[in-house]
Amino acid sequence: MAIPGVILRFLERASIAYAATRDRHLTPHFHWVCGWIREPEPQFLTFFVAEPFTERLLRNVAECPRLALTIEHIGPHETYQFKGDFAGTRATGAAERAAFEACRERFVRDVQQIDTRHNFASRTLELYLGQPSLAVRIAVQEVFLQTPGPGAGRRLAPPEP
Amino acid sequence: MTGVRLPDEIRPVMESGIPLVLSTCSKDGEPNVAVISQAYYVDAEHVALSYQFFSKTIRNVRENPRATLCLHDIWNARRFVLGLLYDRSETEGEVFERMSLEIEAIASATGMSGIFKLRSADIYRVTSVECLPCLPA
Repeated sequence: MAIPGVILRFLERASIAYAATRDRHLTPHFHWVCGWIREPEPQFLTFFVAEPFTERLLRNVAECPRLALTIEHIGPHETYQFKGDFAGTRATGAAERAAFEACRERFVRDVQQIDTRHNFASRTLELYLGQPSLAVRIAVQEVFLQTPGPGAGRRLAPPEP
Repeated sequence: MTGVRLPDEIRPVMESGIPLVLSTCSKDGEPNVAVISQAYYVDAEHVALSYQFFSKTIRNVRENPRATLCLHDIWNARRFVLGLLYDRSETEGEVFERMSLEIEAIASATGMSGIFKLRSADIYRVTSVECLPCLPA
């Protein structure tokens, strides 16, 4: 399934992401994501996993390849969930580093704009986001709207019947 | 029998107002990950999550009670990842009333009073606690 263009453009303004896998006992596991990058083929998406989350992710996808990836634009809360199959990993190079740095800049900016309580310093947020340790490729099969409000949970692509 | 206990240091993290992340899995094995606004400390072995709208998360935990909750401790550059087991839903009582009041206060402050009505306080037993530091690559 090709990721719709409107969703691909969203990836350029989104600012935080999380992934989930599950093990053979159907126990779900959370993985911290510190960035993402579009792929030349629009049915794929690559996200960056920070330590110490890589080992469990790789163990789980070896048992079950299903992945869920939720990406949000902090502030307007625009959120989509991508579901699909694990499609490999690769080392992070210059392109991935540039994508990560753009994601990090948006994360820091958007948290600081919405946060009126904690006043986190930029360096604190950068440390919290972490660094990419592994680039994980997902073959996207479904995209769901997850922005809070009417329609949350609706499948956007492929369109619901 | 004494189960897994939440450390005291987790309470300010739960009360920080920073959204949390809940991972669930359907009975067919499909993982799901969603942002939630708050988790409530019930006692050292239980947390409560709000059920306001029927969602994939709610459906999943009723099919498969296992869940994983991530709490952000940004000040200390670490995350708490809790293994949870859905136990029951409460529609009255102290926990329900406290959650309902807080949700209504948040809704009122954002001009959405009456829209985010609490349907139940879902009580989960804590099955594991991991404190994961933010590590360099």
